[in-house]
Amino acid sequence: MLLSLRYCLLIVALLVLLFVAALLVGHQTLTVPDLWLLVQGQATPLQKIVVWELRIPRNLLALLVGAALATAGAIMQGVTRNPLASPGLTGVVAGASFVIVLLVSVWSVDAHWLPAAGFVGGIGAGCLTFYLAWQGRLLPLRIVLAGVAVTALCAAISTALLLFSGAEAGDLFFWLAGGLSGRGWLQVEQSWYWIVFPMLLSFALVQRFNLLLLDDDIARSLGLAVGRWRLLFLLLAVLMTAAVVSVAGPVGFVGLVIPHISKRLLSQQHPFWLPFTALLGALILLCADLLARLSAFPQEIPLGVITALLGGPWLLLLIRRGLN
Amino acid sequence: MATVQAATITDDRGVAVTLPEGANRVVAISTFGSDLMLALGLKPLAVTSFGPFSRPDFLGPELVGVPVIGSRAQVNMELLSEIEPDLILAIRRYTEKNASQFESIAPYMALDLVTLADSLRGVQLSGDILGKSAEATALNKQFQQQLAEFKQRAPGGVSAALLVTSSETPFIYHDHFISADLLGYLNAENIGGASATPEQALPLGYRMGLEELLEQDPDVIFLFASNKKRAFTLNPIWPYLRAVRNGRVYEVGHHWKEAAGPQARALILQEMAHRLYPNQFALPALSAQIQSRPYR
Repeated sequence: MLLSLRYCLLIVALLVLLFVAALLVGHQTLTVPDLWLLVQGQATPLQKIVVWELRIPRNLLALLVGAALATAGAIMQGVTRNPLASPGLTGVVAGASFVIVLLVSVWSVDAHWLPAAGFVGGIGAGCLTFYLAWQGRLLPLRIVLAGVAVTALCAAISTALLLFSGAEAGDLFFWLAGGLSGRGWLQVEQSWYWIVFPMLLSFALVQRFNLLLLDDDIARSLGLAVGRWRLLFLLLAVLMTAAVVSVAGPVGFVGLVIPHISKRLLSQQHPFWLPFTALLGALILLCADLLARLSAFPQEIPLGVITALLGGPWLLLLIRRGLN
Repeated sequence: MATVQAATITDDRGVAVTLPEGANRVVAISTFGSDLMLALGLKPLAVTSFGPFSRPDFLGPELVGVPVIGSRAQVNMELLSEIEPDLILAIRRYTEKNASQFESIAPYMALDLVTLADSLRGVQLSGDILGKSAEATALNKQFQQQLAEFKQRAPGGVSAALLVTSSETPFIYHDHFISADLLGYLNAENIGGASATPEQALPLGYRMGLEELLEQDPDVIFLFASNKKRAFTLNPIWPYLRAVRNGRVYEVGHHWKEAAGPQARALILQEMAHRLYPNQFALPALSAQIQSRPYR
């Protein structure tokens, strides 16, 4: 218990440090005294705009995206009992991407409608997966198979649409790489409640989640309605993931890798494992976004590229250790 | 079309393009080709689409009824072969991958058309193969004189950005892209700056973060044509930009993207000059298809 508290405090401290660092660095570098002047309302107008309108909302969105993907990944891996499950397993990422590619390349829909449309697309794909997987109850293997099928279908149509998207192709490829560049308060306002409320609900229901980690028969013998609770947790993961993809695009590896790191630091049965995983996800994504902003300065590398570069080797390491 | 002189030209691939009987049935796989041919008093047998429009109508009524055989990057080869051209005039980077297919239909001339130097060379080379060398030389000379005259008249002291895309992060053009290059001839600074790899035509620019855009804070912003609301203009920092506060953001026509033709480049120069220095330069007469307008 004491160790887990230390880990939590360490992550929170790192989060605060990184958040402040991310406020200071950028095209215009600020100092801590500058930030203090800003808090007192005495900074230059340019500094105020840069910090309040660009860096703070972007950092908040990074925290939300990281926490949501990590929590959704943890839920997916837990309820499907599949260590390679990710938030996109139910087709939600491919579904959201498909709807956005469709709207941009065929109907030229304005950008401010895209998050809502992507969210609906993600939920739709998730529901289609559940429908296909349902056979009186939701079995993990059928969820995986149905999710793979829905993902493949959405990805195939998206690819075909991209080929005919003409001048929009560049924007779409940029969006499909995932990222927080140019995102601000609008995206925070559009997504926070679809992330925060499902996340808090999953934290509150952690006892049921822990039972779902057990074998179905054991969980049932302990009085858990396995199918119903599995569906509820999957829906929570779908909601969070759809909200994330709709504002940040597909950001890979976070939902897959963070739960594994989290399991090494804290027992999966620990009552604070899900919040701990969310904190870790927020920290890693804030770090990845900072790297995305700075590693090719003044240009940006798409966040999805950074998370893949960080997460890929880690995943390979995990697989290798698992095999050994 | 009555050109019958034999011609051999080396195109921008370094390939010799030979027309034993001259160019009589020419297909323009780019707005540049249509633009140039009409400026030379010729008419293409087929054209490609002009961005979201079927034809570049701003070039005049001569193109009405001329078949459209795809876009500059995706040509319908069946339609092209049915026309039986004796010369295909195209942009290299969009068509070179299909060079063998084009060459099986007709002699294929591929041009690099990114910079102003490309435009001047492309006009001359194309004029040569079309049997209109002197006229092409005159078109270039006339434009260069216009550049010199505008440079002399332009007061300077303004900065500008040429932004494209509808995503959250705008793409800004580097100096070497023709439309951005013209800013220099109007003594205006392009905040997109020079390319880090000037020996290469690509990339044409880069995605400029809003923080950098705010810091550079150009006097004038030119937004390239888009049929939907641009996401970066919805960001809270947008109203803080000087160009936005002063009402100096303009949506420009699609010809700014396809600027290499002799008519397009001249129209851009005149329109840009007016938008940068409204008191010194008059707004040229432009068709509704390409007329710039203040962005709201």
